[in-house]
Amino acid sequence: MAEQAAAAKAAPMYELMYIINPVLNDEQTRDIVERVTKYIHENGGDVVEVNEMGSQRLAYPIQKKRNGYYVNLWFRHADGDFIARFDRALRINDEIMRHLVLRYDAKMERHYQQQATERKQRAGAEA
Amino acid sequence: MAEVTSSNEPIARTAAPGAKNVQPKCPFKAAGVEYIDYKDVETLKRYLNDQGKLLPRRLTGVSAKFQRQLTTAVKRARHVALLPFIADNVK
Repeated sequence: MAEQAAAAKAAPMYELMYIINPVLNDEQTRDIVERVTKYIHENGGDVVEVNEMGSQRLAYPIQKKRNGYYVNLWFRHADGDFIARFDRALRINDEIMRHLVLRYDAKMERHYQQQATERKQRAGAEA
Repeated sequence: MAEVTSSNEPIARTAAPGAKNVQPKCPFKAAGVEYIDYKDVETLKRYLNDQGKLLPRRLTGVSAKFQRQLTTAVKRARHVALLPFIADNVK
């Protein structure tokens, strides 16, 4: 068991950013965010953080839309083959206009830890 | 009390006469950056011209290592529409 836990910790971290169709209402948007998070969970992944950046103006129109709902998500997954399936699932979903999955290396992970603590501090200061 | 600048003080010159500029330090190295984040649009924008094209290293002083990181970061940012492929500033 201890070995398993150690292996889970060593699983590489991934970052996902996706843009949801702005035409959907709040409930549908929330549903997609939940579904993506659940999908990772159900397939043996570990969601580290979800950061909903909210509706933002796109730098150029995508599918004739000028805005998009940005979601940023970090997760760990031990099985690299999952990423290919996950990527395909995201591509197939019509409500997700764009997505980007990155595998983190040590440098990126250090950068992430820094950013994450800053985000938490900011959230703490606002609260 | 007025200080007299002695004439035999060496003239501060780090480059050969006629040379345009002293090689500036890479801004990313100077800031101690380890990874250039594609989400950090404000930083990335500093290295683009008003058309949204990446500026050459010779103008920005970025080291080769970070210029490579910068290009991938800009390309990623463009893919998720954080940065434009072409900026339509000219109207």
